[in-house]
Amino acid sequence: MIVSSLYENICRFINNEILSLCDWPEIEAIIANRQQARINSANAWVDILPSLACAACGGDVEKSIPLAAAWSLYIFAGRIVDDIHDDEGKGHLWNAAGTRQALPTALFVIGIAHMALARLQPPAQANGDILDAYGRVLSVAAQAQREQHSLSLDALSVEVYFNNLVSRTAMAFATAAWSGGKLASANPETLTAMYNFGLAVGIAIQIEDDCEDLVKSDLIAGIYTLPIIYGLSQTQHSGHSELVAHLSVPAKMSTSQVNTVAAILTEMKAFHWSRQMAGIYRVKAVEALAALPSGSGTACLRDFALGNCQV
Amino acid sequence: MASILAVPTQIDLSSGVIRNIVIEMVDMAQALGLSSNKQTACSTERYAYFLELIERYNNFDPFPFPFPDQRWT
Repeated sequence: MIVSSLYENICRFINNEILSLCDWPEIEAIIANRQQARINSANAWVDILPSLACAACGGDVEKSIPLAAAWSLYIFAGRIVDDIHDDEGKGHLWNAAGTRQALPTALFVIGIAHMALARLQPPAQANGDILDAYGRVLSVAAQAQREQHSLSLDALSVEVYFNNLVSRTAMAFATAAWSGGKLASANPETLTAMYNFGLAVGIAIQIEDDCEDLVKSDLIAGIYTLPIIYGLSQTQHSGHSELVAHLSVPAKMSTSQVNTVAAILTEMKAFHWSRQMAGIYRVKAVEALAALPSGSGTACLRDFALGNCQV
Repeated sequence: MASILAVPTQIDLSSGVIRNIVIEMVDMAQALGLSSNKQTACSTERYAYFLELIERYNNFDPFPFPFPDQRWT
């Protein structure tokens, strides 16, 4: 299965079947720009997840194109909203005129994601279940997004962090993989496998993202994730009190403080430990595939789980 | 090990399901050495399963593919 050609099919569907009905050239340019940025990257694998899941469960990949299109558009909308919320993404086309542009763009993208879902082929009951699941996962993620920004350092715990991660990301991946399987199969064992696969992959990818973003943006924004939680748990480490002191200052961190905190966390092996946690969930995702028939779709999901995302 | 999740012929996104996933993740983190204030004990069966997963992860050493350096969104 060639990932880039599948991704191209999804882009073609969005552009020809959906955007052509909407008559907003500015958005067409924004979406084309995003598609171009993702087609040759590992992110293309994320966008085609429902199609890979459908293929792994023995389904017709063509029928999964509207589903993968909707999923990729929901991800895009989520990214825009996340950037608005975190005051990031200034360099992106969708944000060229600030929130006044980003907000309607996000709403538009959610709207066309709904249009894509409405173009799913029968069976109708499966489609109703999928629509319901996407609506619910969006509402769960929105609530978690709100809670992430209202967390003080005192309220931070591994339970709170995992709850936020599962609600914002892992459930979305579980829904994407499950829904692809749902187009192909009504077998509970198969659907459970897809659900568990998506859940584990989503956990791994978000932990890795959080490791990457911590120094780039999260520390300055006051968003504390798994490496910080691990660092705070290392009470016997010589850098612990300095770490606590830096995190306890209410003002925004300077670049120098961010670098100091990153150095302490590296010394504590907090990033290494967090990536180990992610890696274990990648192994867990591979394990979930044991319930599926072997074939190119399942092989692709295995590659995805292990991070072998060639395009 | 059996899944802790409900069979998703219709997906379950309730807070109860999310809580169960979180409890499993905390248990996993503890098996990997994180100290936590969590009071409930992890079952022997679950703990053994986590150790097996950790062992399988460690057997990759190094993990076959680099971690991505870009946001998935």
